[in-house]
Amino acid sequence: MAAHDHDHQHGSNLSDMDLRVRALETILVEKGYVETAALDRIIELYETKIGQHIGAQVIAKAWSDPSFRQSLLEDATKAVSTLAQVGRVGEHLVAVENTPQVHNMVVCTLCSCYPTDVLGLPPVWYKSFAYRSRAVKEPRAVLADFGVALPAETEIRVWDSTAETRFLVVPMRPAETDGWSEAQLATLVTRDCMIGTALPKKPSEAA
Amino acid sequence: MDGVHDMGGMDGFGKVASEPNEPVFHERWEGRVLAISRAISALRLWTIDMSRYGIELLSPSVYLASSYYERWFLRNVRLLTEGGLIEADEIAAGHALRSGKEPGRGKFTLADVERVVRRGSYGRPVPAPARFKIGDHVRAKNIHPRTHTRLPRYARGHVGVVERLHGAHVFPDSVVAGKGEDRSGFIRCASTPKNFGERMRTRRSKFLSKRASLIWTMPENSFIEPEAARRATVAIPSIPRDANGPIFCEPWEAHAFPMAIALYDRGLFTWFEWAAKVAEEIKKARANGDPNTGETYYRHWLATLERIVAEKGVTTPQNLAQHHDA
Repeated sequence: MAAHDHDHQHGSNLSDMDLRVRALETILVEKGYVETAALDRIIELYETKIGQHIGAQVIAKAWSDPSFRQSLLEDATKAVSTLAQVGRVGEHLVAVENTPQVHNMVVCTLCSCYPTDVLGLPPVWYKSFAYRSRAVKEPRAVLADFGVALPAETEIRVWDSTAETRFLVVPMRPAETDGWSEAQLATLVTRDCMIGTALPKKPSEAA
Repeated sequence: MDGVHDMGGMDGFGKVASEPNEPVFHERWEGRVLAISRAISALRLWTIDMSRYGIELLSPSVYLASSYYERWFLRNVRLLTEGGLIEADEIAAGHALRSGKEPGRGKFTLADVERVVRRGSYGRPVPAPARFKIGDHVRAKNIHPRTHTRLPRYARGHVGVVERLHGAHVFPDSVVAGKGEDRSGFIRCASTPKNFGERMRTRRSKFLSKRASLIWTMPENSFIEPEAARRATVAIPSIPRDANGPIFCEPWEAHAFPMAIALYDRGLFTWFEWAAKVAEEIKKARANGDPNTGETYYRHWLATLERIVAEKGVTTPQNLAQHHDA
């Protein structure tokens, strides 16, 4: 269950997929539709450049800089695109802020829509049938699967990514982080807390 | 389509299992599938909505038994084959048997990579004033189109409050149905559907229903104004409905319904008058062999609409005919 949406019934499935995908790639390259080096580059970008560290920088800046936080909440695409280390991101990125009263959580019930520009590719659990089915129906039970228990009076807002808008959760800044630099704060920001299925690390849990 | 992909609110899939230190790809082939998907999308032979629909078209048993990137792979093969870029015998042989066609945008090379790792642009100039304003109550249409829609089943029929107007976007349902972009204003609304959210025990050991707010961002034509819909269903008992309001099979039916409401609101007819005319249309259709099983209800509705606007001189039948299949 850990590695895939389901339990494979037999071990040969993966090597079978490997062969089928290699065959398809061979056909596409031989027919002149795609260049192998371009495929390699896409994989390399997702493995090394486009990932959750971008979102962590964004959140750390929002925690440190009130005017950036304001522009992030007003127009996240515009605000994130001003960060030199990130560059242009896709349209209609929406930042939603957690408060003591409101906790936000993001799902895509229909497929796997995700703010890849700032978080990289979604984890397997985000694409799992369990998360897609339950997040809109029993979000507190789902949070419990992640070990998160919120006060009963906290309102949970579940954002279904049904359109071309993408959502990034801005968690609450952890206590006892006064005077921390953005780089230090970024070490507390996990991928899951930007999806809304976790809270940021506490200073005592930082690496 | 009412497919197995539309999972919101389903039971039985178990706990959510997250994997610590999860790698970006678990197998080499997964990365290749992702890269191939991005590369062939850049050939511009299909849109993102068509590629989502390609996954929804997998049979339910295949969909449920396949991993995420297996579904992507199967979708890619389908789109490439349907697009005539590759053929079944080549897949069987494992290499090209014919030279390639000229793809729309030419070969996908290193220079194209930056373009496909950023999300595409689907925002469009707003074509018309917004139908709803912030704070309006809206009801998600209870539609069951047989093709692609981004209106999930669990949301259909439920009432929400408009929180924000999101400008106009490409309307996925229309693109996949081959009817063009049909730029549509998008709204964001918050809803608390009944029976969703947990019941929690309070200190007095009473159960308190803790509902969560669900936030949908969808085309404004996914919604109807609930009070007007309620008045119409009260006035016309024959309107197909369930506990949440009127139900529709095809998207055009859900368009025909508010068209009549809009004309009623302008005082063009009374619901009594409308009900009598619908009954006449149904009688006429029966005489012509309509089985009258309820599935054709909105054909009679549309016929009534056409007749009434022609009779009242709002527009001519010729004008209407032009819009008939729009």
